Amino acid sequence: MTRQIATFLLGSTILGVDILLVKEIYRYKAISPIPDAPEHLRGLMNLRGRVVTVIDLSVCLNRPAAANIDDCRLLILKTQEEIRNYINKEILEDTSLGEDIVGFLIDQMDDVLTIENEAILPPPPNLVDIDEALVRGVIKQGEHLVILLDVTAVLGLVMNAATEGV
Amino acid sequence: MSEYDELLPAFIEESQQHLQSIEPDILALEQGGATIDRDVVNRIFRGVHSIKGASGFFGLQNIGALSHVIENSLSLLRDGKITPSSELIDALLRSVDTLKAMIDDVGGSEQMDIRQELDLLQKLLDNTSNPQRTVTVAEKKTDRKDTEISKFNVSENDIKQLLSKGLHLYAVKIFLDKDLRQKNKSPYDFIYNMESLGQYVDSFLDIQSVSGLSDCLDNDLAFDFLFATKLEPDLVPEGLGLPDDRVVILDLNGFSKEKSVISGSSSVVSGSLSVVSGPLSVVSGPSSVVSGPLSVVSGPSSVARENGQRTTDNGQRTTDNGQRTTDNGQRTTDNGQRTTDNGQRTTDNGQRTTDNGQQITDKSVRQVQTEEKIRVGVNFLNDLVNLAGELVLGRNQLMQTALPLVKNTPGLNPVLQHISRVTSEMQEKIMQMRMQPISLIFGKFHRIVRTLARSHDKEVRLITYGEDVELDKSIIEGISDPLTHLIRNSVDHGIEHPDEREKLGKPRHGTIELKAYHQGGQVHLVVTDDGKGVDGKSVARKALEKGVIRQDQLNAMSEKDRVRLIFRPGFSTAEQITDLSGRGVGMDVVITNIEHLGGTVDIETKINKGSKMTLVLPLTLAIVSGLLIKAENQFFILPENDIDELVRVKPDEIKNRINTVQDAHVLRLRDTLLPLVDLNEALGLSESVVGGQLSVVDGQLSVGQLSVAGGPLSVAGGPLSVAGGPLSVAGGPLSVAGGPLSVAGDHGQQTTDNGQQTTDNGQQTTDNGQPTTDNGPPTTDHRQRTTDKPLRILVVKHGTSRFGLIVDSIESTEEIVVKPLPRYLKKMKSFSGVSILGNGKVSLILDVAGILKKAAIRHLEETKEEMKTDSDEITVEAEVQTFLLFDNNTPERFAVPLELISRIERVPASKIEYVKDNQFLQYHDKKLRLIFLEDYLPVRKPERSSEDTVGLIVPKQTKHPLGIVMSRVINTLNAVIELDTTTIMAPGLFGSAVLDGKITLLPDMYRLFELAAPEWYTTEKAKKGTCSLERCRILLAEDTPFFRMVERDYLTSAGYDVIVAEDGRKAMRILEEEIVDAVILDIVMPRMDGWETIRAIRSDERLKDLPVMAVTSLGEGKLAEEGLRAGFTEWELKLNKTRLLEKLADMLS
Repeated sequence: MTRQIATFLLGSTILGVDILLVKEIYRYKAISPIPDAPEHLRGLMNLRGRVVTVIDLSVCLNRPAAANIDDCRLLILKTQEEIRNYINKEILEDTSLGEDIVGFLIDQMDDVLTIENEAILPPPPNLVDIDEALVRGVIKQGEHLVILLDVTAVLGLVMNAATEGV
Repeated sequence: MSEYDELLPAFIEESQQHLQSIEPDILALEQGGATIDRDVVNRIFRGVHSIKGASGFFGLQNIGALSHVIENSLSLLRDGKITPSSELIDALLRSVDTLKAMIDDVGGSEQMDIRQELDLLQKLLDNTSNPQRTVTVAEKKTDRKDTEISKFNVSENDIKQLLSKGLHLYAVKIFLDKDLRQKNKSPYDFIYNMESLGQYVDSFLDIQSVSGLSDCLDNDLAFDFLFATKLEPDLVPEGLGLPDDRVVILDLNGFSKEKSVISGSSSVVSGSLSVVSGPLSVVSGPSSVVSGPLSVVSGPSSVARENGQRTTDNGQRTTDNGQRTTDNGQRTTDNGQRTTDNGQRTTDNGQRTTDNGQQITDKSVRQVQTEEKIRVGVNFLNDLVNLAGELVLGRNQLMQTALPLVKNTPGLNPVLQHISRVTSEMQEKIMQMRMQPISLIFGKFHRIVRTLARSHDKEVRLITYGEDVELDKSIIEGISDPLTHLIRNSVDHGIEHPDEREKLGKPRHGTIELKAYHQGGQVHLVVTDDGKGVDGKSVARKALEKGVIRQDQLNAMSEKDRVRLIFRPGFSTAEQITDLSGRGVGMDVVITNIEHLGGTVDIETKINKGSKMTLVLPLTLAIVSGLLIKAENQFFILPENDIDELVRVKPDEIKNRINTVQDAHVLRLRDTLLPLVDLNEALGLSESVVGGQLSVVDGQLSVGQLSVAGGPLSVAGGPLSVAGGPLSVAGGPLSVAGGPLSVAGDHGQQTTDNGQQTTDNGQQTTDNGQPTTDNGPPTTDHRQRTTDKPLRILVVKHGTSRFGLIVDSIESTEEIVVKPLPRYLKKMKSFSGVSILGNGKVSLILDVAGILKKAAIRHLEETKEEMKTDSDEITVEAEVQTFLLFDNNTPERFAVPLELISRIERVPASKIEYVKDNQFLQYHDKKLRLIFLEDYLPVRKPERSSEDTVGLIVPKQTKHPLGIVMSRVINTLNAVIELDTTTIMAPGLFGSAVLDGKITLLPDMYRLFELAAPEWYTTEKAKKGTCSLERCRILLAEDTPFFRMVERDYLTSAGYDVIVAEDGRKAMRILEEEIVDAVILDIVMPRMDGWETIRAIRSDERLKDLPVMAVTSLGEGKLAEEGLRAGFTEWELKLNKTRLLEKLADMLS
């Protein structure tokens, strides 16, 4: 099966998520920080009347928190309802996005890759700083390696972090 | 049978709606008693009738049979042949229940055993004087082959009635598939239509005809109706939208001898004919047109009213239409077109005219149901709400952007105004969509009360008011259970048995009132009963038994608090658990549920008079009014419902109004001490430690803030910056101040600065503040708060407790749309939701309970325990003492408790006489010995000249006449003092305290006298010595902390062991456990005063000989005599050390 992967940059790392999960890319706009929240949660943002929870992806991937936040982009994900059909039709593996809109803080968007399922390889054992549990697989793109994120796992991590935060 | 599957859900839904309105109507019948409201009966009748009719379609014989019997009883009821006895109502209710059950489970309905219900009703019917004979109407044989003879069950009586009305009876056959499904009609549509033309009498599913031709694919379910109408035979098929051959007129001659009636009323017949033809033309249009407008009708009552008015118009119009219809035979297209817009209306009117005014009410009921048919998903609605919010936001931005252009752009302003208005209105309307009348839940209570009352053999009447009060859907859903519980409780525990009530002189039947009304933007729901009320004592006893509270907690409770114990988890007053109210759900669930909805529960009760439960609820959960507040440059919203009041503490008041109790800050607000929570700190916005928070946040030391910090610090704050103070005084506390400063780790830079500051002196504080702020985040607001700006405190309530929330600033009041917290934040208890503000920013909504919890964890940690158990003690300590403030013509200030003072005099200094080193004044024929403070205390010596007048303080009761010389009385002051016995201490001083913003010394007058005239006191000293051989234990009960402390010092200094108690009750508890040699009691004490205590002591066999001394500031004389009579061994005034010790020694010897 062919699928499309939206790739983006976080520092020098190329990451990717299935494009069916992406609602839109948004320029970073003023967000309201959440007091006492874990570092993962950067704040809340208004997206046309809906509240977006802004997640610092760098923190999730064990890196220092995003610094130049004003230059960041937001990769806004769909909600569970919006992807339900894809999952039912089995063009998307079972993913749990929840009913709240989430935006990942990223540095820059990159290409959209069209690949076969087979091109997704199991993650190599030493992915440096990224927790293997958060990685669905890797895709070789020339000399680059695109790390395909397991969005369910990332969101799960954030939820747990929030629990510990209080 | 697939047509089944498609039609069945519609049948179920409609039937359920019918049943919903039937039940309250049956109850209304019973309440009406012998006078039967025919409208109500008709309404029920029609509902049941429709169910019966439609059930025939599906071959649901059980449902059909039961509804048939119900219908029969109703028709008897309507005709006054039977009365709505409670047996009948019971039977009806039971049958309706069964009907409901069958409809809820249509598939299993045929297996259900309904014989009991049938028998029950049938028996009641048989008992009536007019037994029904069922006759069989045979269809007149026609020459058409496809019409089989069908049989209907109709009572003779019915037929007679029909005939007397001049109706024709028709047998109508329809086919489910051909006539309904293919035309997109539901069985109900058909029946409604039929009812609009006449009266449908009976129905019959022709199963034989189906089974006989079962192999035939195009076979259709046939259905036979018996239909009575005034319509002439040639019009009926058209009216029903059926081919001519399906309608057969029945010969009624065999049943009626009153044929003439028909012709007699022929003019009426023709009159109604023309009207009826109106709906004919409508119905004949595509059926979707009919159902379309049907479902859109809104506002049932108003429509009904309008319709009433419109009837005349339509009469007119329909006559026209009728004309046209007869002309054309078939409908013309433009007619169909025309009827589209008033289709609904005409159909209604057609029916109404045939059956007359009675049906107006009936009609409106049906329209309510039609309205409920609009089902919009809550999600959809919420999206709409969101979008409306967004639209408002867009509108606001548009207005702002366009405003400058308005002047130069003609016509722009009206457009903007228009958009603005429409937007607001639309948002409002959308919000209203979530509102539902409370009658939705009120309705069921009649039934509950009735059932419950009967099962308890009680007589209870439920009266409801304010059914049309509207609440948000989610709130309506949320209060259903708690309200049910309250009402059950009232019936179960509140209302007494009739006999019992009679004995109490109450009417035999109890009354429960359920009232809903708006007040102050909230909805009040009040459940009142005239039952036996709640007995606080028995509640308390039960609570004790169940271990809900401890005895000592109980002792401190007021009657009202005791009653409120019923809301505690694990409590239920039910003597026996009944099947209805004692289901293991207590009142605590009620309160939790209501609080969860942002509401409160209050109970008022009077024994044998009744109870009143008041639930106060917000109108809606979706929109709340809240205060926009600022903390560390971030905006938060605090729902207004949580806020009791706003308090602004001026910088110069901070010291007086903010105290420290057990390391927690408290605000003195009128008579109470309110725990304070700093929002910044609770939210973790500023790192700080206890006490440091307020004073050091941005590296600033300031007067006001310091006083808020820990105990000794607050005293130090004064001299540091205000007076500059004696260096020796400043030294101590300064080092203390260093503590919190250095702990405020993050502000490393500031710490050093502050260290600097503190070693300098208060003067520089404000100056230094400037540079240090640069280190911190440049938050202007913050500086405002820490320096000269007043403190802003929101007094918020949480359950029954209140606390003060310190915020940086209060911005505005906002109407906000509450959105749920994203799941990632669900664990953060400080917030209850989010909202998007008018400026488009997202703001968090604060959760009062969560903040309190968090603040408690953060900085009330050590005091938490004590705060809880001794919360009453804190208020006791808040007991205000009155002090006389005076000075001595020097900057120092002094204070003595006013209650120790007998008189204050002003005398010319020249009158003072000197004898050796001592000064005297002739005063009321006595030589008053004068004491100058500067002679004995470490204070400055005032300059005095003999021209001055001086003030004299004459204390109460001293052995020898003595007076303290001062310069002037400044004031009297009510205050709770924090006595500091370390900073400034000298013989003759109790210590110091900050009063009215200044360091004030508290002279120990009696000690001063001792110092001044040692010769008068030597004997006492000797006496004291004799007693100290054996270490006696003294119990000292005194509520005022100041006196408690001082008196304890007296006693310990004399060698006694002292146990202290804050009031009589505590003293009694100690006496139960400990052995003491003597007791010293204050007279005026909270909870249990000295009088009560002495009585308790003297009535105790073990204690009746115990020496007890009253030490009070109340005068002597009569009162003292009374005291001695009451059992006190001695009566002494407060703070007279020598006499106290002397008398104590006497008592003990």
